[in-house]
Amino acid sequence: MRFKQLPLLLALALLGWALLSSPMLTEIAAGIAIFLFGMLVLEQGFRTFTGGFLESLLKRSTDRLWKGLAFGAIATTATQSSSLVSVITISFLSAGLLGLAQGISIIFGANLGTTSGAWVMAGFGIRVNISAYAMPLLIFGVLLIFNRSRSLKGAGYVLAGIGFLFLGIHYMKEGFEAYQQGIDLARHAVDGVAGLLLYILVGMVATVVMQSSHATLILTITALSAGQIGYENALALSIGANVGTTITALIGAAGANIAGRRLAVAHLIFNLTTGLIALVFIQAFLAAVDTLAVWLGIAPDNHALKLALFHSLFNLTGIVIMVPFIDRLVEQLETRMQPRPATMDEPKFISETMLETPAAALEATRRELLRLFRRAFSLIAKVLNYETGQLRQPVSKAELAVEPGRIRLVDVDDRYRQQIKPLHGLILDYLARLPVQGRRARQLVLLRVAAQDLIEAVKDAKHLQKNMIPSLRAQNLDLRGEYLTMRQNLGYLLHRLDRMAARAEAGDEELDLELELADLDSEVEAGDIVHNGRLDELIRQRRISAHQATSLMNDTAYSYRIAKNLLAMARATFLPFEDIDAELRQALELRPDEVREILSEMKP
Amino acid sequence: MSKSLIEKFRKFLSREERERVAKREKLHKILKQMRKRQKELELELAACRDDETSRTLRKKIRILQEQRRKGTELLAELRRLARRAETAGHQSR
Repeated sequence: MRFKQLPLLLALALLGWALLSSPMLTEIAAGIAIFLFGMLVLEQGFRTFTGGFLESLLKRSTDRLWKGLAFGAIATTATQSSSLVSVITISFLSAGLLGLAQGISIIFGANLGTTSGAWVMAGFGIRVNISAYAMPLLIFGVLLIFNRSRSLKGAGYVLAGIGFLFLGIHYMKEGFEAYQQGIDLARHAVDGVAGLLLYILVGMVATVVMQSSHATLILTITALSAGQIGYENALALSIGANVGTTITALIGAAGANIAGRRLAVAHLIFNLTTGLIALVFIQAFLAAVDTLAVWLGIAPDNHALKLALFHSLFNLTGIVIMVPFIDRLVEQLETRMQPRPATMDEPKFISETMLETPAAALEATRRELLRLFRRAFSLIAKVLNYETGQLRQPVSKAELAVEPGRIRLVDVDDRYRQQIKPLHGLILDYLARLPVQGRRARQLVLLRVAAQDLIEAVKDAKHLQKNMIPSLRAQNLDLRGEYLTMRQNLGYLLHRLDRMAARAEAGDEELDLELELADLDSEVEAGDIVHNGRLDELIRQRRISAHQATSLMNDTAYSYRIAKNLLAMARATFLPFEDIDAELRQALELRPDEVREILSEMKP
Repeated sequence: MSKSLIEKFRKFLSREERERVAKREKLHKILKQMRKRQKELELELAACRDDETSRTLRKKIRILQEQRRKGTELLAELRRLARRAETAGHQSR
C-alpha cells in the first residue's frame, strides 16, 4: 500500500465511524451522494440529448459580449450544470473557435446561471414533498434510458437525473429535520467577522470536496430552512461555494491547453473578486436584499429565498464590475500566460479535454493538420532543394526556375520519422477516439483522408528525390530542363498553398479558395508532360534516351500525385468545416478532364 | 388552419427539407459571389496589358464559368427535387 493513500483511508474510516454513530448524518450524507449522482446523470443526459445543439448554439451566438453572457446564463440555467458549459467553452476556446473575451463572458454568464438552482430549491424544493415527484421521474427516466433512440435515451437520463436530484434533496431535508428534533446546530453558530470567514472557508472546502457549488448551495438552503444554520452563516457559505468552485475549474483546466488555462484563471479572478466584494460590502448587500425582497413580495422570514436573491445579486454585481475590464483582463492573461513552445512530437491544438466536445475536437484536429502540412511543406521544399524561407516569401514562378546552387540529398526517412510521423500518429489516434456520428463522422473521414494525402505526398517526394538529384546534375540539358521545370512547378505550388493557408488562417474574406485551388489544379494538369505531349516529343526527337524517358515518366507521375494530394488536403483543411460548404465545394470541383478541356481551349 | 400553413409546418419539421433549403440558399449565394468575381476578373482583363497575366486571367475566368455552369445545374436539380417533394406532400394528403 502506498503511503500517499493513508490520508484518504483515514478520512474514509472517520466518515464510516461518523455514519455508524449518527443515523441522521447518514441520511444527509446519502442525500448529498444521491444529489451528486443525479447531477452526473443529468449532465450525461444533456450531453446525449442536445447532440451537439449546445455546441452549434455556442458557435453561432457568441459574437457579442452580451450574447456570450446570455448564452452562459441561459445554458447553465437550462442544464443546471455550469461544469458542462465550462467544459464546452474551454474546448471551443482551445480549438480557436472562440476568443478569450467571448469565453470569459460565457463563464461570467454561467456564474449567474448557476444561481438559478438556488431559486428553484428555495422557491419550490423545500415547500413541497419533492420525493413524490422523484419516483415517477426515476421510473420514466430509466424506461427511456433503455430506448435505442439517442434523443429518447438522453431525455431518459435527464428525467432520471432530475429524479435523483429530488430524491437527494428529500434525504437531505429528512436528515436535517431529524437533527432538528435532537440537536440544534444553530446554537453553535458563530457570529461576526470570525463566523463569516469560518463559514466562507467551510463553503469552499465543501465545494472542493463535492466538486460542486450547486450541491453546497442546496445543502445550505436545506440546512437553513430546517433552522440548523443561521441566515448570515448561510450567506457566508454561498460566498465560499462561489470561490470553491473555481478550484474545481482550475483542476479541470490542468489538462487543457493555454487557452483553457487562461480561462480558468479568469474564472478564478472573477469569483475571487466577486467573493471579496460580497464579503467587504456584506451589510450593503443585506440591505439591498431586504429592499428587493419587499419589492418581489418575499416574506421577511423567508431566508431561503433571500439567500437565493443574495447569491444572484452578488454574482450580478461581479459581472457589472468586471465586464468593463474584460479587454484589459484578456490583455494581461495573454501577456502573462505564454504558451510553452510545443516540441515536435507534441500536439498544439488537440487535447484530451476536447474529446467530449466533437465539434471543437474536429476543428482542433484541422488546425493540427495544418501544422502537419507546414512540416510536410518544409520537407518537400528541402527535397526540391529550395530553402523553406524562399517559398514562404512573395516570389514569382519565374524566380523559382533558377538552378539550385548546391544540390543536397535529404534523408527523407529520418526527417519523416522525426518530424511527421509522431504528429501524424497522434492525429490518427485522436481521430480514432473521437465519438462522432452523422455529419461529424463525415468530417472525421475527410480529415483522416487529408492526413493520408499529406503522408502520400511526402512519400512520393522521397521517391521523386531518387532520380531528381542526379537529373538536376545531368549532362543532357533537355533532361535537366525537364526536372528543373518539375521542381519549379512543385515549388510554386507549395508557395501558393502556403500563402493560401496563411490567408485562410487570417480569415481573409477576399480569398476564393475554390477558384485558387482550381487554378492550381489547371497548372498541375498543364505541367503534366505525359498528357500534354511533351514527353512524346522528347522521345520522338531522341533528345532523351528510352531509359531516361521511363524515369522521367515515373517521376512526372510522382510529381503529379504530390500536387494532387496536396491540393486534396488543402480542400479539406484550409477552411473550417461546414457541412454544406464541403458538399458544395465537392460538387463544384472540376474533374481533370474538364480542366484539360479548358487548357486545350486556351492554347494559342 | 390553411393548407399553406400546414405545408410550412411540415417543411419546418422535416430535417431533410431544412437541409435542402439551406443547401439551395447557400449555393445561390455562392453562385452570386462567383458571378461578381467573374465580372471583377473581366474588368481586370480589359485593363491588363501583360500577356502572361492576361493568359492567367482568361484561364481563371474560364474556370469560373465552368464552376458556375456546374453550380447552376446543381441548383436546378435541387429546385426540381424540392418541387417533387412538395408534390408528393400534397398527394399524400
